[in-house]
Amino acid sequence: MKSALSLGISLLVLVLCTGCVVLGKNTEYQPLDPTLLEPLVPGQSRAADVSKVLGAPSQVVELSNGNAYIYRRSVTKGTGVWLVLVSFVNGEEQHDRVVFFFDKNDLLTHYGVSLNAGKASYGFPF
Amino acid sequence: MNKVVVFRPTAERRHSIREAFPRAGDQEVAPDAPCLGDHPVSRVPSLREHDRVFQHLARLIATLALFLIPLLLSGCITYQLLGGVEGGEVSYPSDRLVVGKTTLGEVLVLLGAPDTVGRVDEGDLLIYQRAVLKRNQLSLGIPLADIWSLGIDLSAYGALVRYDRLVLLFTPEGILSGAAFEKSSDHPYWKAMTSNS
Repeated sequence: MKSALSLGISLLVLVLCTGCVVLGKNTEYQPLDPTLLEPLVPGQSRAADVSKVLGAPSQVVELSNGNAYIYRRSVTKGTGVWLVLVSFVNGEEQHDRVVFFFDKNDLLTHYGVSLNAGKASYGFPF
Repeated sequence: MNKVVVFRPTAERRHSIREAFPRAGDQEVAPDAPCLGDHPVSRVPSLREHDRVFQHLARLIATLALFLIPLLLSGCITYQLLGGVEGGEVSYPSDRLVVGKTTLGEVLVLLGAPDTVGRVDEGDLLIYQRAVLKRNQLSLGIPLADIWSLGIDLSAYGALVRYDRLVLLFTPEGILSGAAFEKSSDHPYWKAMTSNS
């Protein structure tokens, strides 16, 4: 009796756990290297210097007193588990971002850095 | 030729079973009375043995049902839980962000690069944002689309995107002139989904 019950439960678990698992990663451009930012000094560097080091920005925004160059990289990691009746799908997207602020003379005034792309992780949606 | 398997309990054993499980209509049997198994004839199963066989059969059917029902229902009943996160944690250090005093440079050092930069009438704005998605879906249906265009399909889902968002306004000179913060990822999913507002 017990062995039949154990067999039934084992079969049920086996059937319900039949499925597949998918792990996916999507990287948009290469990660930003913080060491590249060292020669860029507010008050000295110009927009051309920034473009020379980091290339073309992802976005250029006109501000009230100059412009902003936005460099953005992203990493997305997705996890999917498909069982017989239940499926779980999760995705996490994190960014590396650098925003440079220039005055009207294209002189670098400030910049901010957020490097979070490496924090993207696989996981479940609960 | 089929072999007849004969159940041959001893007379003592049969007597002890009868004592342990008396039935209405049972008659006292002498211990030395010949039992049915003592004769080389095929035995007719008793009602109790029928019950036992039936119980075994029922257990077998239940086990098979547990095994087969999920397989048969796959594709007909599905539950999907989907989640997603975009962006890092957003916080509002209100004690370190002072309107009229904190500069753009200090904000960038404190919070890093914003998600969005824009221009408004009074100056510029920075937006820090994190989006959290959660979606539940339950589908009931018989996938007959390949056979019959009128396949039955019932599904219900609820998707909720919650944002943590910090908006900072600056004067053209780069002085913080306003701040707004919303942290909606703390709101319970089911409460938000069942709310009419």
